[in-house]
Amino acid sequence: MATRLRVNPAGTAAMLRSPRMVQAVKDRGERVADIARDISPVRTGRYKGINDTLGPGGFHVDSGVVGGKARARVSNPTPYAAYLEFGTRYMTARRILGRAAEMVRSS
Amino acid sequence: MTYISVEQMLAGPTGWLTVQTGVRSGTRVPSDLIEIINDGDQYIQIRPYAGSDRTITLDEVALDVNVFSGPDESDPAITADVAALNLAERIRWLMRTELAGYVASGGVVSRVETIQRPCPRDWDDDQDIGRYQAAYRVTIHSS
Repeated sequence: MATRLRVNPAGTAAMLRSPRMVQAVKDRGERVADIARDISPVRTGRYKGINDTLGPGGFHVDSGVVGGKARARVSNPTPYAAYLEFGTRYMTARRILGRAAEMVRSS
Repeated sequence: MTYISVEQMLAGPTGWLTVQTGVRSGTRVPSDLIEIINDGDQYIQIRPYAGSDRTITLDEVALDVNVFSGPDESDPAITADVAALNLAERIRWLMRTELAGYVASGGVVSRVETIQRPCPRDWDDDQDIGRYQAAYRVTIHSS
């Protein structure tokens, strides 16, 4: 017995940009942001998003369709967020977002 | 059975990346990094930051590869950043084309993916050290 499978490229493309796909990707982005909040170090609370008296901070999720595909982006506007993520001569990389993304990926 | 330490497999005097590139590597940034760079050498730091083993014996490790370099004194066009980028891209090519299939004691590298391409990163504004960082996911099948 043989089975024939025909791929519908137009249907696949429509699925990748569908509202349900955007919502699914956004949900995963929210999970990344939740984990990142949980494992964030706290000194002033700005990076974690629990103290905005020093300026905007916290983790934000933007979602939509980019290049025909659903996409979610998790970001943190704190000026020193990149230093925490990737480290400098004076600070070991904490990899908050990287670890959160890997945790969601492997769950 | 134990899982292989991917950082020990890649870094150190006999590590895979050291042998492949001829550049000193380790899991930490040495305290004499400035002297290493001033001597005209480069340095590679390999640092795992996440991972899991959803399938037993298959260890997936997410790791950062940081490259530090000074300028090429013999060529003004090769600034510290350019030299670091060149080494980082050479490492990316080696990781993606040569590392999969490498047999280490206790296992074999079954897959290498790029999580993030080499990107410039801040290190210290007061020093002429170029730094590029990339992230990879290495899957090792332990035996």
